[in-house]
Amino acid sequence: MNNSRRPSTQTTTVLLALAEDPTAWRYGYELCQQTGLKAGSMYPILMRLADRSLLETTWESDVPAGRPPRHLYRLTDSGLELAAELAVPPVRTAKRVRTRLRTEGA
Amino acid sequence: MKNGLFDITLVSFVFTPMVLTITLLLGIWWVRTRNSRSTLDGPKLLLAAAGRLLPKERRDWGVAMLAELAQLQNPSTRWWFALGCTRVALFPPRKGGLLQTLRNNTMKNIATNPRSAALIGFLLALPISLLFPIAVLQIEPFHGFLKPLFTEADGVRQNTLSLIVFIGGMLLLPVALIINIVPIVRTVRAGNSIMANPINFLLAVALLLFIATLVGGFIVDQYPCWIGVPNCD
Repeated sequence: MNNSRRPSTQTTTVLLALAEDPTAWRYGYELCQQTGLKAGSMYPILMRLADRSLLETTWESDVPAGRPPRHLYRLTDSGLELAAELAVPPVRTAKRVRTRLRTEGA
Repeated sequence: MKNGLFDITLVSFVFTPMVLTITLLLGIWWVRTRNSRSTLDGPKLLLAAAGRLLPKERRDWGVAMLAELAQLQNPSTRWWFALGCTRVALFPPRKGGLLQTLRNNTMKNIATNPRSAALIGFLLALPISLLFPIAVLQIEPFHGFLKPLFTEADGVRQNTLSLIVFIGGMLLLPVALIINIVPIVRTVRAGNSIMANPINFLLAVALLLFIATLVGGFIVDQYPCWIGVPNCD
C-alpha cells in the first residue's frame, strides 16, 4: 500500500534533520537533541521510516571496550527525495484553486 | 460466606488468586533476572524489561535504545529517555500500520486457516458454555467425593485444615492456568500455530474445564445466599 499522505510535522522535522548531512550516520539520541523530540516520539518515527525503506540503519563497527554498539541512521535515496519534497513548503489548497480558476477563466 | 457478594467468596475466588498470581509471576521474574539485575541501574532495568515485550521483528530497536541509554550520564535524562523508550516498547508501531497488519495477517489467516480462529473461539466460549448448563440445569458440583476430607470422623464438624489446603489448591489453579498459557501465547504471538504446544493446550483446556466447573458449581450453590434467600447455607 503506497502511503501518499504528507508526513506529520515531527516526521518532517526528523527527515529534514537527517537530510542536513545525508552521508553522515546519525545516532538516535543525537537526533533527539537536534530536533527537540523526546525518545518516545523519535523511535516510532525512525521505525516507520525504516519500515518504508526511507531510512537505512546499521550498527556501529568500532566500539570502545565496555559499551554496546550503537544503532546508526541515515536516509536512503528515496528518503532523500522525500526530504527534498518536504523542504519545499506546501502550496495552500485554496491558493492553488484560485490560481487554477483564474487560469481557466482567462 | 453468607452475607452478600463482598465477603470471603469474593476474597477467595477473585482477590486472592489475583494477588497470588501477581506475586508468583513477580517472583519468577525476580529469580530469572537475578544475575543481570545486580549489574543494572534503574532506567536500564526498566528499558531492558520493556524491550523484552517488543515483537521479534522489533527486538533490535530495543537493543538500539539500550545502547543509546548507555551513552547518557545525567540521571534525570536517563530516566526520561528510558520512560520514553518504554512507552515505545509497550506500544511499538505496527509494520505497515494497523490496517495493513489486519489485512495481511489476521484476516488472511482466518480466511485460509480457520482452525486457529475456531480453537481460540472454542477456548473463549468454553467457560460460558460450561457455566450455562450448570446454572440452568442446577447441576451440583462433583466435589461430593471430597466431602469426607472436609469433615471430622463424626461426619458433622468441619475439618478446617483440609478445607484450607483444598481452598489453597483451588486458588493455585488460576496461577497454574496462567503459567501454562504463557508458552502458548508466546508461540501464537511469534506467528506459529496454537497447536505448537499440544500438551500445554490440552492442559489449558483441562484446567479451564476444572476451574469453570468448580466456580460454576460454587455460584449455583451460593447464589441463593447472594440474593438474600433466608436460611441458606
